[in-house]
Amino acid sequence: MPVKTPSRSPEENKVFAPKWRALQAVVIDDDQELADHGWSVIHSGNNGLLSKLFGAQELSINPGQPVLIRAGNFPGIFDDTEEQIESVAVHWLTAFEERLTELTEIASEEGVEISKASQKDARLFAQSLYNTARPGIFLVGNGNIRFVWTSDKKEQVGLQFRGKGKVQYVFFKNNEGQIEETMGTNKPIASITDFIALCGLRHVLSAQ
Amino acid sequence: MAGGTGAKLPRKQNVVRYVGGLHYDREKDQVAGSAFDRTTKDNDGLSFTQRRILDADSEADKDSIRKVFASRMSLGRTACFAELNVGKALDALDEFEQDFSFVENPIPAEGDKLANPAHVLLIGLPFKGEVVGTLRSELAGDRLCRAIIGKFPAHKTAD
Repeated sequence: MPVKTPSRSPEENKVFAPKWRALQAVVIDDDQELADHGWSVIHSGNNGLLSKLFGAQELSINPGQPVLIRAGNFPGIFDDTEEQIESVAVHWLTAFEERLTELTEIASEEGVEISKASQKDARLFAQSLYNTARPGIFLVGNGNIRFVWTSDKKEQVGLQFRGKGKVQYVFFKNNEGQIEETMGTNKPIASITDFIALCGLRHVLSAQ
Repeated sequence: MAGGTGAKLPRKQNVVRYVGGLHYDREKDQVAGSAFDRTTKDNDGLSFTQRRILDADSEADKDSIRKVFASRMSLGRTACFAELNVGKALDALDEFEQDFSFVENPIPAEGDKLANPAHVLLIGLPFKGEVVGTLRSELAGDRLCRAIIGKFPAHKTAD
């Protein structure tokens, strides 16, 4: 089910290209892979529809419709304007690249080698996020990039990018004063944002 | 480097750990759990320095700690010292099924390197036989991060 993406100016493509690549990757994959991303395909004559159930509301779009979709998307993206998405994404990604430059310099001084696979995954994940605050960005001694979001209630979402599309995660959730810990390794990046929401920690990603 | 180990520290004592720029995000003023993971210098235990041993005055003590560290290593321009209370730090590690303790480990002067009579080791970390960045090490570090009570820059000029 190929999709024709709307035409954009080169400048727009510079900003949105990663997201559109994600859209194309999702759409042209087979149904099972779509299901892994939480999407299902409804075939309707010549027009395939992508749909995803958000709570009780089923949202559908026509392929080619000028709507941004990310592989690791959050509910509500369809309600927002591209301008809002652009401002959040650009701010975040610029900060990410600046910090990455700093980490690279320090790593060189300290003789630590940055994992290119981890760096690539971290960048793609950052590009896929929407409406999130900049996390703390670190380099673990094994060369992996790690993002850590915290809230003023001592909650945490920590993601170590291990390469090959997998993350190691350490979550802290404040449940009426008790800190509940959730952790694991080898979680697919494609499913981590849904898992964060499932753990009730989506708000931590937005905490400043 | 170590000058032998001594008595356990009382729970009320505060200690600091040097945190390089890889593990301290200055823009977010945030320390990562990896700050408490293994480094080449942490063989027998995790390296800390007691507060208010080098100098009773808090600010003068910070300067003394900076001088001692600067005589022994190149301080990162974005590095900091993270301060923890011994009792709270041990409580943070309580759920791991092993013993942890902070013990005195004074370091003698060596050539141009200043002595550090306030040096201590956190025995029990790094976890024996584990490589850097494992889930258990990361969890221990993240729990210690929750116990951080203060930070100050490794370079005074950054104050």
